[in-house]
This record gives sequence, C-alpha cells and structure tokens, in this order.
Amino acid sequence: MSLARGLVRLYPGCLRDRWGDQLETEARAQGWRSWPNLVVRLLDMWLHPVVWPTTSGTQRRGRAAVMSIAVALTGWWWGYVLGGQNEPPPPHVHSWLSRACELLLLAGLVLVAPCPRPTAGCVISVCRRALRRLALPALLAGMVLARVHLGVTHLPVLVRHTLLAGWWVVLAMGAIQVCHVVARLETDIAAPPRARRLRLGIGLTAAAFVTNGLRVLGVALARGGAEPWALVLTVGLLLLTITCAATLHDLQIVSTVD
Amino acid sequence: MQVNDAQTLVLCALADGPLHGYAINTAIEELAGRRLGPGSLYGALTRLEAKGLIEPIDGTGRQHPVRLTPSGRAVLERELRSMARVAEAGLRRLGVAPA
Repeated sequence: MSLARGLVRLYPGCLRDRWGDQLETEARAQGWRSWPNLVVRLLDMWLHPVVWPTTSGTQRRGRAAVMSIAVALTGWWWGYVLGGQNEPPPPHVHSWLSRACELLLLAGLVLVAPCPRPTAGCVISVCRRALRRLALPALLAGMVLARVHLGVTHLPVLVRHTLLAGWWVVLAMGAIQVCHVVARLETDIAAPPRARRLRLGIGLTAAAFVTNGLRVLGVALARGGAEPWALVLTVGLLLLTITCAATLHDLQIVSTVD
Repeated sequence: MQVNDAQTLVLCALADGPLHGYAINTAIEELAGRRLGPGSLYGALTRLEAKGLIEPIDGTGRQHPVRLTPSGRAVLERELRSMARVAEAGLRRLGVAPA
C-alpha cells in the first residue's frame, strides 16, 4: 500500500466515500509532493466535521455535537492532568473561579448532548450502549482507586507514578468512549440539539476554556512567574477555544443551506 | 475569498460547466499555472458543497462531476467583480492601463 493511499484512508469515512478514489488518483499523479498537503488537509477535515458531505442538517448538528463533546472532554482532561498536578491546593483565591469554569464546561456539555427520544426503548438503548462502552474504563478506574485506598505511601516511587499515569489513561479512555457512544447514536434513538442550543453550548465551552486559561495564568503569575506547565495548559486551552470558534463559524456558513 | 483561494479557483473552473475532480484541477492549472494539492482541491469541493455553492450530478464509474448552483454562480460573479474593481483601481494608481 502506498503512503498516499494510507493517508487517504485516514480521511473521514463520508469523505472517502465521496471523493476517495479521485483523491487517491490525484495524489498518485502528483507524487510525494502531495503528501504534506494531504496531511495538512487531513487534520483540517477532522477539525471541521460540520462541512463533511451529508444529506441532512440533523446529521451536521449531530457531528457538531460530537465535536463539541470531544473538545470539552479534551479540555477537561488537559486541565485535570496539568493543572491538578501543579496548582496550589485549595483553599486558594482562584478556587471559586475554578468552580465557575467547571460549571460552564458542564453546562456546555449538557446543552450539546443529544437527548434520547422519550420512550423506554430509546432510553434503555442509550443506557445499554453507554454501559457496554464504559464498562472497561469504569472497571480499570475502580481497580486504580481500590489500590490507592489500600495505601500508596509505602510503594516505590515508580509504582506510584505508574498508578497516577494509569489513572490519567483510564480517564482518557472514558472520555473517548463517551464520544464513541454519542457519535454512534442514530437520530431515531436520540435527537441532536437544535441549532441555537448547540451554538450556546459550544459558546459556553469556549467561555470555560478562556476563563480557565486566564485563571491558570493568574495563578502562575501570583506564584512569581509564568511556569512552563501554566503556559502549556493555557496554549492548549487557547487551541481548543479556536476549535470551538471554528465549529461555530462552520455552523454559521452551512445554516443558509440547512 | 481571494484570487488564489482554492474555493474561488474551483468556482472559476466550474464556470464553463460541470467537471469532475481531476478535470477541475486541470482547468485550475490552465488558469493559475499550478495544480492544487489533492487535499486542498477536495477540501475546497467539500466546503463549497456544504455552503450550497456547488452540487453533484450523476456521474459514471469512479467520477463524481459537480456543477455550480445558481447561488454559486452569483457568489462567483460578485467575487470576480469585486476583484476586478480592486485590480482596476490598483492598476490606475500605478499608472498602468488595465489589460
């Protein structure tokens, strides 16, 4: 398999169905010089699911919802891993702001989440899928927590660090599985949010990232200078905010068509 | 949009009639002197379709020709007129007669 074909296979499925053969033909004709362009546009397309080929506005909103949930969970995980290890413990002058960021993020998630249709069958179907997907991360999280509650102070440093890294991996696995569950919900089981609710939810998520980024920088500066962890966390949150803004822009440009 | 913007070039290439991807890039090469990268070409086609400026028509085999929609034609005309106004004003200021 050529590299061009491999790269084309990494494009979203609906794009491959539509343009895959022609994309590959063009890439082959242009040779290795087309590879950087294929990679850049591959990332671009994954970051803009709203413009992927579709037959309905409902499907577009569903994709925007999944994107927003993925971005929100990434921001939460990023903040948990970096901020949780480096910030001073509460009570801290910024702790109320931290709580406000969490509430904004939670509100954003609730607003963009698809609602199961109000029938017992649909609700059971959603719960069953969630249980199936989240069973393994929940089991692993339980194992890590049980080990921590048995006491870790007597354990070697390497084992303690492994437990901590394991905890982060389990949380990331859970976040990925949540996105899988939402992405695979058919519209007859759960309805994607309406356009206004979706935009509000994405806006709140972006507001949470901006507020949290400023708060983290404030904490770091109060401790005597912008530390590397604070800069890395803030830049990550800024990139996620830009992703939210791009999704809002995409929803705006396709709104006249839908 | 700008004169070298992939989406504008694709719209220009489609102004004559429906084309499929490879033919669009050949028309762009004649127009701008270079082919678009495959990702840029099909990214532009995806976005233009999402905006309702182009639409697919029935194709044969692996080819999927597309054509301008009335809205795409109107957008292209507006963009080209706007570019022509800027070009004309710029050339006048340079003291060069428009081609």
